[in-house]
Amino acid sequence: MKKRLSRNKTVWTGVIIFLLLVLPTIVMAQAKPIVLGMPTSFFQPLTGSSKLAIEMAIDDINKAGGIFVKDEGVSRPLKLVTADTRCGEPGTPVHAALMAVDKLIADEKPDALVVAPFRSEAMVATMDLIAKYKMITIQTIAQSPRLIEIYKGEPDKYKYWFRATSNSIYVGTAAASTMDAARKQFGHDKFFIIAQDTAWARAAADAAKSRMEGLGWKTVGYEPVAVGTNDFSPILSKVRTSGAQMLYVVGDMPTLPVCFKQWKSMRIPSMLFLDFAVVTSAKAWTTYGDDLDYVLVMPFPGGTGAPVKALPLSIEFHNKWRDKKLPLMDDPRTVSSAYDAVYILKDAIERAGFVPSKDPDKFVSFLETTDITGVSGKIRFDKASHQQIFDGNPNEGAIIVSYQWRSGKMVPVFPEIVAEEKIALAPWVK
Amino acid sequence: MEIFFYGITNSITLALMAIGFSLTFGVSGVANFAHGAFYLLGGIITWLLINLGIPFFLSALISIVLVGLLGFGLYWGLMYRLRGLAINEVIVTLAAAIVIIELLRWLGFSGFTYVLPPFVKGSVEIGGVWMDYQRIFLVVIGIALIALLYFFTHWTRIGLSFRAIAQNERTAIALGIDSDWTAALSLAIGSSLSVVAALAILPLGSIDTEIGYEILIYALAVGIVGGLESIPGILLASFILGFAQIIVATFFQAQWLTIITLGAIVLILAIKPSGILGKYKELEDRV
Repeated sequence: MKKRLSRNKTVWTGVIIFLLLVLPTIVMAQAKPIVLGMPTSFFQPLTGSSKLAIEMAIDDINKAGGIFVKDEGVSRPLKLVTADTRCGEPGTPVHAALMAVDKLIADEKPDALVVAPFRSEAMVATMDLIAKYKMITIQTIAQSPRLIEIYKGEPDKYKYWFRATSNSIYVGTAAASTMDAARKQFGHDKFFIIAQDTAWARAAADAAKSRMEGLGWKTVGYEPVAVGTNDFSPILSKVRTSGAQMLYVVGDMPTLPVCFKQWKSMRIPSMLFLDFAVVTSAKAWTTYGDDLDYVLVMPFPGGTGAPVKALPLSIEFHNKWRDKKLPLMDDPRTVSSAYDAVYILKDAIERAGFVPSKDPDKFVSFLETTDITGVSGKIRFDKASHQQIFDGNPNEGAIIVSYQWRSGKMVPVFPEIVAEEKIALAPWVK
Repeated sequence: MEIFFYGITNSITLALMAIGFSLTFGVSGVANFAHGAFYLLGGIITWLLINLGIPFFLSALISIVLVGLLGFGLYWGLMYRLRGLAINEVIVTLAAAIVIIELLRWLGFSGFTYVLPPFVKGSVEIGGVWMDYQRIFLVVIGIALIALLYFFTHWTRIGLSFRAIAQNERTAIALGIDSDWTAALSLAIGSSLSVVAALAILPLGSIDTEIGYEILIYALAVGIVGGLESIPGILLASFILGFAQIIVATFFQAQWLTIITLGAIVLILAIKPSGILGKYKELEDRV
């Protein structure tokens, strides 16, 4: 009898454990998913990787039971829906991108948007749609400061928009500070710019020029190059004769790899800071190999291009990426921001107790008080601009990290607070 | 010294880009505006084969043959019925180019992932100028190809038949030359030459679909300036444009490079429409 009782006890314990494990999954499976909309241009490798990052976050959250929505008393899984705005493809008009966003909102009725249109022009136009539908949006790609101006112009109208990534001002400042670290370390002060002759690259180059001059550097050359230039030798000869110690190259044209390959083969005696997305991820080494050695790169928010010891979540992010056997990123800029965006929403939903679409006006205040740790450091928003705060200290805000390529590894070299090694000169640079 | 050495490499690069186009359009009078697309396709096929584990030189050989066959097929499949209708030939080959390039883009061969290995990695100092080995090989290949092509079109029966159908197709036929086979062969050889150029030039940067369009512009510029049917003209134009680009980039600004190329086309068409060493217009005027 005693034995039978003991056996019953074991069976019942097993049943209870089974129910405890399985029930939440069954309940979650029946619960209506929280729908995240991702309207962006899927022509770019950057957006493809951002989608994988979001799916990775969603997968982890759903496996852990979903997001508990207090007011509903259930945990709800996340679901991603996408729309291709095609705004990153040449010739796509802004209104076509807007139609894609509008259709996604109308058809899929997402609870919030993440990532949002790729090109700044399309993103600027999307601001009115976000306001019209009161659609909570965690935007993570377009870097234009214009979005902040729009928000500040009518904060009550555009309050549903939050940018959870860097912007071009932060990026420009961080690039200049990285190069200035070389002045402090090596006493360098002569600066040469090679910029692709397109509006965005010229703007980035102009901003770098004014910042570097403000820091005490002397610009000894500024060379705009036509798209399609396939021999950089005359320009690099100018760099050599100018006596420049720091060379800043900005662009995204297909022939730009010729530039850094020639920088090495011609033994140009200046440091090279390459503002070129393609060389900011581990994949670049598999493509270009040691032609990249000693090149300085900056893949926007810290930890997105390669792990940084001082940013523990960046290590976790890259380990998960590797464990899930996701393809190496072609362009990692802001990919970690897309990943963080999901966790920003999860945190706000859990604190609010309701989903964003239920009461967007009220939900805004929960996003404004976000205070969690992400891949690039602390995630907080500036209430006055709805821009994620980027601070020099990862315990106070997010940071941008610069790396230097060394024998196949991207080594964090700036800012000092997270640097794992000092900037090193290439052997042919004095 | 850098201007001299890099002027030479830049000039030979232009010559390599133009030589296949010149052979088909200039020497044998067959328009092949898919030249840039074949250049791109050759690079991508080689990249794919290398990534399948096939050694570089074998991959290169397979690509040269495959693209050559494609050029041959392009003639019999599309151009055979249009032979002699110059505008239609241009339209059909340009359409084929767009189809190939955009198909490759759609398949994802866009971006910076696709890089061909150099023949030999590294660089060397010559006369105080550092230069990568690949550029030195490029110059050697370029000079060898130009010499071979000159020999081929002036001293071999097939080469002479190429020139014959370009000068007067009816007379060539009357002399027993099979103009369709000759034209198809010229398209095949020209297409293969575009792959040779790709294999020499692409390791300097990376393969991107846009290059398919850019190569055609450079090939056209060199051909028009030098004279489409003249191999010495192609060489001369390559050196004029190549050195002009280097000098402008050195003493002015690199952003004017594209204008040099396009400006030269406009200038030469206004002054001497046959090109510097070309004689088509003069021959037509005389007739």
